[in-house]
Amino acid sequence: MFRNQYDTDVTTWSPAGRLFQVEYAMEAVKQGSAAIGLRSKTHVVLGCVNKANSELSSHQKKIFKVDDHIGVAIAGLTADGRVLSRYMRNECINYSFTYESPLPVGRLVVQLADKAQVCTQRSWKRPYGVGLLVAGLDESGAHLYYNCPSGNYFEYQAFAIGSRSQAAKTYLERRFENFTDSSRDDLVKDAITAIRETLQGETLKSSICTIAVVGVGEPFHVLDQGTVQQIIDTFEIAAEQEDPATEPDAATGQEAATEQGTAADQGGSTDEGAAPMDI
Amino acid sequence: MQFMASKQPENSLLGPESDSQRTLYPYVTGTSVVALKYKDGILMAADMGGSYGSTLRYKSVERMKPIGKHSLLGASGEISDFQEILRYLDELILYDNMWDDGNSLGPKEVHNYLTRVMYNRRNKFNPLWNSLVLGGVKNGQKYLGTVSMIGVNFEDNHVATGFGNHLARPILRQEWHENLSFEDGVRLLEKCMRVLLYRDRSAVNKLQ
Repeated sequence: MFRNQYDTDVTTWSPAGRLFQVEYAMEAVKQGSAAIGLRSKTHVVLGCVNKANSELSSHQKKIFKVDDHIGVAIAGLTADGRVLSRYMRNECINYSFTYESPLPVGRLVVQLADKAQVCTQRSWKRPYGVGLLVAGLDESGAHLYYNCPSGNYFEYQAFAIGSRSQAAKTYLERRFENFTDSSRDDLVKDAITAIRETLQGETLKSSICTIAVVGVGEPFHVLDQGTVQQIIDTFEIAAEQEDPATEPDAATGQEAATEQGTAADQGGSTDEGAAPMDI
Repeated sequence: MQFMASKQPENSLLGPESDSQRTLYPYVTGTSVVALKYKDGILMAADMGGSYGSTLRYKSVERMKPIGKHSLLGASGEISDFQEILRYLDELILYDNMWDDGNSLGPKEVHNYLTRVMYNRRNKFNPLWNSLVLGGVKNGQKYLGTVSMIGVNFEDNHVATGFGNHLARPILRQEWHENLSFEDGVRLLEKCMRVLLYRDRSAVNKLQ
């Protein structure tokens, strides 16, 4: 994408019929660190890669609880994401108060999309630079939606956004047909595996990823680091036997890293990933 | 707080230009509504009378209306306020339908919405002079609740408004049980309505 004379304003069309500012906003999403989501009939799992500014700072919070039955993972400008989560929380709680019933996810997503569309049609506004993966439970089952800065929204069985998300998407495309009937634990494992794909060789530790689950009988919550590390440990050992063909280099790299990883993590949550700041 | 005792015309609410915007007395009123849960859903009964003070003036007033796909609303009290409530609910259901997604407002949601409306109106000292009974079935779940003029709301297996509370509920308490059949439920309601007809001055013998 190159600079041209039609990209100064969001209210200027290009002769090809494109709104460049909106497209640039989608680029911002692609630059953010990865977030993935996948769903079965009864559960939805969100996962994201934690980025920290430096070794001294804490991670960016990228997964937000919106209500007991809805959660959102963001990629892109986290400040925009924070503001939108506050809006979503407001909408949910107002609906709950008036109707004593949880807000259907589909409606929240449409309201969010309409809000994003407004920003693409005012000269004094700019589009939100954040992509949202909205996971929620509804009368009609479990849902996963993706909201773009353009104001579009789509429902997905599984999706990944952010940098290096293509690797995760490839993994999910291979496996998505099984997701509908997956158990909750299998779904979480698949999510962690998808995140590992985006890391492309980096060690997978619980300190660099965050996983959150919502399901029937299970309100939205973020899994704590200990649980995530346990799951990582269980299948890292299995992974070497499972996919030697698909990732020969990564597997050998993991072998050495696993021993180092487990030794370091045995003490607790302190590690070289980032400063432990009450995560 | 000003209390202006000017006469309000029937079946209409004054606009904001006038000083007395507050509903002070009900003019055309309906009497009790009785409802109960039975095996497959909700049964509700109300007579079709609208009294103007002590005169039984209107004999074909429908005091029960279906709301959306799942609920039934019955009201006692000021008839014009009931019609206003119907207008609010019409708008609510319309917007709900306009979403055009798989979701629809069930009786629980409508009941809570009405509670909010009634409570907010009473907070402004301009109540909707009604006692409402809201019942419905959604996804096999039965729901029966009531909201009063001041916003008091609760759910129960059988509810009644006005005189029905004093005359009909004791009968219901004795004779109601889970899994009433349709015929038994109707018979029970008829019994309640008959007692109301005998003893309530404002009841008429035409039922809905």
